Amino acid sequence: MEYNKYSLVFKGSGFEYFKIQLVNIILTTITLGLYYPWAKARTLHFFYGNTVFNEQPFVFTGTGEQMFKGFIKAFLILVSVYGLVIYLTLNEQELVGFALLYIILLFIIPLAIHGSYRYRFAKTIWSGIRFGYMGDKWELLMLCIRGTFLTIVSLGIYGAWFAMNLRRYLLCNIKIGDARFSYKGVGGEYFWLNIKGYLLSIFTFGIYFFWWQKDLFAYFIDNLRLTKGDQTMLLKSKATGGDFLALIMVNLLFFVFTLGLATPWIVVRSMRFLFSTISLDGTIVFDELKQTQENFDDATGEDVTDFLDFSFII
Amino acid sequence: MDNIQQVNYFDGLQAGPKHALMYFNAEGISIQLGDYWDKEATVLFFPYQECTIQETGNKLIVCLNKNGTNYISFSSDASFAIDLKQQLNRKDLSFAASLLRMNVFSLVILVVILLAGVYWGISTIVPWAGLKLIKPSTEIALGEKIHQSMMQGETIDHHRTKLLQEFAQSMQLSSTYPIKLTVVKNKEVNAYAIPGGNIVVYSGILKAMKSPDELAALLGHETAHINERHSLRSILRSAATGLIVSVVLNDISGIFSIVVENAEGLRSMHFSRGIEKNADEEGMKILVKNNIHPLAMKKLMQRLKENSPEIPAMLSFMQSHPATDERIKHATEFAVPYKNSSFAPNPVLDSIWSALK
Repeated sequence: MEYNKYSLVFKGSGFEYFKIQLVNIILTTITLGLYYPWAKARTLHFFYGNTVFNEQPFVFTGTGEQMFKGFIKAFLILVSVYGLVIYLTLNEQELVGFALLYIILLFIIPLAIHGSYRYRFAKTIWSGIRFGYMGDKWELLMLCIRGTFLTIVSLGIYGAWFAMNLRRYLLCNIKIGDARFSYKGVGGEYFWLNIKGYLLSIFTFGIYFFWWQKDLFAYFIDNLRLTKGDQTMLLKSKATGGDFLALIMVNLLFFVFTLGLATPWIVVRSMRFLFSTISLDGTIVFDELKQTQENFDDATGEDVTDFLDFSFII
Repeated sequence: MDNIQQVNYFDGLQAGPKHALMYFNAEGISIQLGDYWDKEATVLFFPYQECTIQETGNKLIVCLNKNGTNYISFSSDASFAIDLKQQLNRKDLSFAASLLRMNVFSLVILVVILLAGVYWGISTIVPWAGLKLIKPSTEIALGEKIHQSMMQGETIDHHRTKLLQEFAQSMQLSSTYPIKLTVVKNKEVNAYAIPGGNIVVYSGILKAMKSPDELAALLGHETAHINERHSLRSILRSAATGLIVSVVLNDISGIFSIVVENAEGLRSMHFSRGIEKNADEEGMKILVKNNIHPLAMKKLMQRLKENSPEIPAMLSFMQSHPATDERIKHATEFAVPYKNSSFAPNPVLDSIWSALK
């Protein structure tokens, strides 16, 4: 079996991203927000197309039209939920209203994540091969309900386990063609990592924060792998705490001194940095990947997560 | 067939680029796998309607079907790239495409103009519509609730409340709102108006005042806040600003927090200087209507100034209430036309005043 090293490169330019953002702002504003799905498609095309693995870029094949349909559905769902809550609140049923809101959100959020993952990965293509998310929505729902309940009961302590269970479930169900991702991070390790990071950050007046961030990033990347039959590819982060310190401080200075205008450049240089620190090696022969994943066009979940303001990767 | 080009073809079955030859005409793109064109071999044809083009960096990707699993990629520097792009972009005469062709400087200017327009629009429309939509009756009901919740934890001086209410009733204060007074036992020199008609007066301020016309001036000022719907105006104005900020920052919850903050701000009364000046003026008009000399407003302010702790000039500029000197000047100017008019003493107010003291 041949052993290979691969690299993940982001080669987008801040200038191009800035221009895309300007056009998106103009069109979204004059359409009173309705252009949002097309704006998002344009942004995703930019990020995917500029991310290169093994000399081939990723391609996002989702369209503004698909996401617009999802956008309308998501909007109707959320408006009726919030409408109900506001109605109850106005009729002096605040407690019932808020209880209902949290319960509904507890159901909506996992279902939205499920839909979002299905759509996003079905539309992610590398080298002509589709990604796919294979998770089951009821399993995810149960995982989230149980996780939320235990997190509340344990006054937040279980949160670390919940986060890792969720991440494991989501990542272990992602495939690219006939290769499967897996993640082996566990709650206990993640918990102590955060406790250590938190305490040392306090004792060092915040300096350790950057090393904490490095640890969290490494814990995400180093536990991730891709397997196909008996072939595997391991991911490793080479970033150091010093790297994170330089990255975050420079970003902060850029942001402050340009009053936020440099945001596109900040995003791009962060992506470049993070991708460049990841090393990938293993025995997978990527040109042998086969198309196995199905297409999926419903973007409702994707849009619900946008409305609720979730970042995509957990 | 002289313009056959080499491209990378992705067949959507197995990963990796395959060598392929491609040519295109007015209808679509034809592709044959392999390095040499073979007239006998299969040619795949893809009409332009099914195709979409994505350009990133120096690579062009032409998706050949709607699912995007079959595509060709080639360098955007290739000689045929411009022609093929033109063929595919024929249908893309969209506004977005023409914007993307503009230079960044013009785009920045466009964005600035647009956002300025949105800011102006929202900050004008929201307060205007809010004042039209919210009827005084709603304001009264809402104000009553706010008053109730604000009075929790305060000690009310019922005797003085009753007297002050009589005092207010013997004046003409408001025709739209029922003016209700509450005296709270508190040493602080303060009084505030709640939208809808409630005025809360601290016993500290009553103690500080030396004459009934000062009290009338105070009531005039606070009533003006109520009549002119100042709280509602400023809540609407910050709600509009909050709305803009939330839209820009994509944060809906921001709107609610701003409304909450403003409701809380009633107690400390951070009105803008313009609003305070307006309330002074309207308050003085009320005084004149009640046959009280408008200079009472000036007297009241001087009294409040005596009783307020020293605040450095810089700070007083930042806070709206203690900008007393400027307001005293304004009150004096307002009173000029009434210099020679005579205002008869009001025995009813005087007697209630002595009872209050």
